[in-house]
Amino acid sequence: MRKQMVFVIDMKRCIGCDTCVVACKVENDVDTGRFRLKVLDSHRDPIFEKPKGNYPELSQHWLPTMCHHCVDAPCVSACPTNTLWRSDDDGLVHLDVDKCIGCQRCDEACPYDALSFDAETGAADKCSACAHRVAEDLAPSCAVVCPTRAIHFGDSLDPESKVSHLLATREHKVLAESRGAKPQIYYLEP
Amino acid sequence: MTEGKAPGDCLVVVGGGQAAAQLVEVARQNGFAGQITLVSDEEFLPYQRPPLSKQYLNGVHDTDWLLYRPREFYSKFRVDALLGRRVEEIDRENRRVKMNDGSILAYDKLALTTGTRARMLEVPGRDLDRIYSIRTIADVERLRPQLPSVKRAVIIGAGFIGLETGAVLTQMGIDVVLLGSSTRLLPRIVAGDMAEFLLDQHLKQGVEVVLNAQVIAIDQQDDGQLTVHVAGGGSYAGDVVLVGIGAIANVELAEACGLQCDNGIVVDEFATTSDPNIVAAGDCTNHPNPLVGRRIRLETVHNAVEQGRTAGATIAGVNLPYIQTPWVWSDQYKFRFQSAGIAEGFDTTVLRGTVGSGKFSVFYYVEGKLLAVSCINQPHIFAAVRRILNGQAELKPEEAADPLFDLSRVQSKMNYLEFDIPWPTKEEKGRRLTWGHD
Repeated sequence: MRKQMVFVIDMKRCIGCDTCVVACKVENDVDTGRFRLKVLDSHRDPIFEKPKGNYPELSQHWLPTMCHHCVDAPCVSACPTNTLWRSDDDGLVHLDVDKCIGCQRCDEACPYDALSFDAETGAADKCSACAHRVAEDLAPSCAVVCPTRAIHFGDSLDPESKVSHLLATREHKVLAESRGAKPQIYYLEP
Repeated sequence: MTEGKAPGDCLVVVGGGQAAAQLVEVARQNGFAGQITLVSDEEFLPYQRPPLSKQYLNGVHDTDWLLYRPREFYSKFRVDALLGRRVEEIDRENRRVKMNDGSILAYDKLALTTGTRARMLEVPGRDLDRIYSIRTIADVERLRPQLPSVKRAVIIGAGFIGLETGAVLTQMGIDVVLLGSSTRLLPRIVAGDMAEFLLDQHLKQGVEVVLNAQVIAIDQQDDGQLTVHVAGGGSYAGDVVLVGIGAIANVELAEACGLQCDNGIVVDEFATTSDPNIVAAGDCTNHPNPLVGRRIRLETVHNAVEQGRTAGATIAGVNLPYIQTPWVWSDQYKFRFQSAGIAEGFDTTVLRGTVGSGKFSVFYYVEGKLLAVSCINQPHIFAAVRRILNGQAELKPEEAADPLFDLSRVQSKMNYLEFDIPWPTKEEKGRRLTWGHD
């Protein structure tokens, strides 16, 4: 049966601990200096975190972001070699690294800065939603390790799924919606 | 995929390369809801040509691996693919095309992605058996069964096809003679240290490279071997001869129906031809490139994909100008060559890195202005310089030459992640905490 796997991230719960970042790097053996997942702060900075506003009117939230597995993925359209492709079975954007020619057109096309590149070959890398784990009915590592249960992953076409419930009951947005890529990471209100 | 009102009801796409697939995809994504018919004289759905002289030639991958979009794509995007069929004539007045079987297809919008065909030798003996070009799957299918019995191959042409094919055949244990008509390899693309590096790599692998070789005839010996004769008296024998001497734009259909053509089908930045109901994309077009400063015709995958995208948007009534820096790549032996921009007309080259390390870049300048870069195993330099060229930012030669100068800072990526409509502020939410649990 056709699925549309999505991430739902609860900004009210995320505390910016970066445990998901570490788990992603360990699970997927991501090189030093490269990321499949970043956690940005209120100023969209992944490193120097600071709240928004002036005391006492301060606010702070974090934004875990990775490949948004867009329905109309600009990276898929820009890729000249079909390295990046979107599966109709699970709705995820997959990457066949052996087809990659290191042109980095996907990097220019992606509105979410979701790709990184091998320094030697230029081969692209990005979040696969831990496809190897999902194939075994396991959740992506970022969702498993999140200590505040801020990251959810599931099938939005299944009305019984947790992600469907969250999207039906909580206010949510996607990042940079006007770019028209139809991203599949939904952020619940902070 | 967005459904919407189509500006025209029926789109006919002539040609079945990557530009065609990209065009129909983007037309659909931008709301073109009418009927789409894709006509290709090849028996295959749009596929990638670059691997023909690389991974497909050496048999690593099959035909399906080459497909630019999977078979399901065409049903999902509601595209009728007429394969092995040819458009013979375009009737612009009545908006219809005549097929080679005599049938007629009506169109509201027409897209020409007719591509190029391999340039053939114009010398005696050019029609002998076992002379091949590598332009289509069918070309490779004819050549590949011969390869196990080939001990020596003569390749005519020192462009990408010639070099890549030479590399693959050498790695298969076949002796290769490479005949180039110019004084260096890739004469239209590179110069200086880069040309010397490429030559050195092929010589090290045992390729016999002959430059300044003007082929004047090919004949067949009694033992069946082919002999290629060059001006000045040289002769080079081989079991097969491969010809990679460039390509010719397929503009005959466009010319015959009165579309403006001049070294390709003349289009504007929206891929529209001199007939507003007809777009054209890919190798067959002569298009303006403001970044290069003149009209150009390109035979690159990037051009096919990106101009195909523009043409598809135009079909759907969306303006998406095609203004991008041209780029190419080539994988040979264990190195990756990447080039951005057009070096033609350069007066100075600047080397960054050392040739001996196998990781270096050559920058091409004219009167202090950066024109292009070509890189060996330096993908990050290639990407940074392409951004610089796209942004028309300044890069001084001394900066280009300095390995410590961070090129990525010259033209940064402009992505800034934000929600289109920000979440309500604390005040707007009635001084409620904006984080933590309710």
